[in-house]
Amino acid sequence: MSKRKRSATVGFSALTLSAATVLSGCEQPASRQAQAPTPAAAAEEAPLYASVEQCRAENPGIDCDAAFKEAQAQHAATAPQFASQAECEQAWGEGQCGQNTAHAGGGIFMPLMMGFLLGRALSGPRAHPVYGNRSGGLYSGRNYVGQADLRGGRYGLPGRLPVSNAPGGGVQRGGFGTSAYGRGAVGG
Amino acid sequence: MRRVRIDARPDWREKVENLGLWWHTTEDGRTYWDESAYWAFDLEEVERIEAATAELYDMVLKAVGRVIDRGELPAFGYSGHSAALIERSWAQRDWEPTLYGRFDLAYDGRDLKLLELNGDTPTSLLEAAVAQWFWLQERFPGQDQFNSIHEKLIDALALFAQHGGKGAPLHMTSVSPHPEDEGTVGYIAACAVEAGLDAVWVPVEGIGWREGRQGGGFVDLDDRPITALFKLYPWEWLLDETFGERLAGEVLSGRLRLIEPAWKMVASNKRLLVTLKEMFPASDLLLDATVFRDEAQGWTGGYVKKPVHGREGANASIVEQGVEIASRGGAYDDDLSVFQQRASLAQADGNWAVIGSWIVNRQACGMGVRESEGPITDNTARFVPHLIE
Repeated sequence: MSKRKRSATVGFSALTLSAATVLSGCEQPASRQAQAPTPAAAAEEAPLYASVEQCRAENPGIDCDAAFKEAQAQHAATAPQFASQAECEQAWGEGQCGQNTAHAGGGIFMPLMMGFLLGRALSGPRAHPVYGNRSGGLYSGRNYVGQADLRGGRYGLPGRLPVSNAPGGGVQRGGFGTSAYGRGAVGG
Repeated sequence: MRRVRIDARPDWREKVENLGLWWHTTEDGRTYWDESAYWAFDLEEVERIEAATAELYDMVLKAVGRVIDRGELPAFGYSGHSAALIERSWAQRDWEPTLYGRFDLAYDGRDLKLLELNGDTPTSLLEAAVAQWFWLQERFPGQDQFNSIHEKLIDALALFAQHGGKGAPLHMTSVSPHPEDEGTVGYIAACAVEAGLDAVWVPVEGIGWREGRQGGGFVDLDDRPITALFKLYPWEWLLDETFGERLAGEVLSGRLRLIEPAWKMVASNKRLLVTLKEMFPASDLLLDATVFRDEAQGWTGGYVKKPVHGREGANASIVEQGVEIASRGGAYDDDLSVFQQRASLAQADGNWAVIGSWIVNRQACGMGVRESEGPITDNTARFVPHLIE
């Protein structure tokens, strides 16, 4: 071996900050942590149900039908809306969109509700709609609330998600990321 | 250069996972991080690769400058916002942060030729910078490796920190969930923290747009403004998507900086291979390249058709004496294509090897070897460590 091709002065101490720890936020002084993918600010976590039946089975004392209807109504009022099925599917994925039946006259398309969160409020249970995009991002209203485990086109929903009561503060999301769908490689 | 078989470390999976390399095995169970062999180069060979990489980077800068100066961006597929962004970033290139790029080189121990440059979204970075270095320390602690990628990456980020990068978080984005891209971004985030920056992750679809009284702006998952964004996501895609126009507006107005800068689109566009050949016809680092298939059909040894925006070998095909002998499907077939003379790759034990040679902080500083069982290096090509003997 002759001349070193590598600088000998700088070591790999940096790797105590490995990629894994930076993104998951572990084992680092709090002030220097890179932030893990945490959903939008939320005070409360709530159970997520994919169906009224699942809600009933786990909550015998609660009117799950009413909760579902409340979530549906909220969904119709807060989910992003599109003028056509095709435009909606381009953003949210094939088979992920439907007509907004609450909209008089029809003609408005929006991502389908995948489930609902059962949060608590002073007045009793409060339901919140959840819908997902083509790469598994989960949203409630206009807020990103978490990530589904997407395998073979099926959404594995997490058991709990943070409830986001804020109307999104006028923040729109989901305007990036659609090109990656269906392509194996992003970087190269 | 030679390929040497060797036993993998018995606990190699755990070892590379501890470094953040979780994508060591493909979804269908094939090895991606492959330490059952290594490539041994002599110092002369490595110095040749290093010098060639530095020379190629200079040539690429000259070529990008010529394309912009001569108003040729439309021929590369850029007009409107994308052309304006490229021109602006080029005019400011001395101040715009640029971290990295990876030249893919064909080298069989004799001829050394440029295959292409990925200057916008290169991956296999953690593998090259970190995983193979730790492999070397355990397997051959007395040997050397062409690799100061890690230090140069921190240097580049520290330079950004010193030039206005410290005032606000450096947001970092990629597709999510995606172990390889998230892991690569996570590694760069670790380097950013080491360089004194505040790195904040946001998945690309989680980036928000907030309307405000004085115009809107992009925000992260906690609704904090994004003013500097490292993206492992192609510029062309960002601009093509729903928020594309807003992105262009923010960057053109100087309210948002992206890493890599927009001119890297041109550097990564395979149409540049034709410009390079026109500008430097005598360079022995360049293969013949053309936009005309007829011309390519006249070359001996065959040619490779590549979509100008293609990545990881997608939609590439190899033609020999008029017959397609290898091709890869993919999602880039709507692109313009270029035709490049076929190069001779290193071959051993039934493998075809391509060298990924890194430019970080504007310096040639390391390499990685990718191996395939066929002549097209694709996204499942295995990463094999190297050493200098």
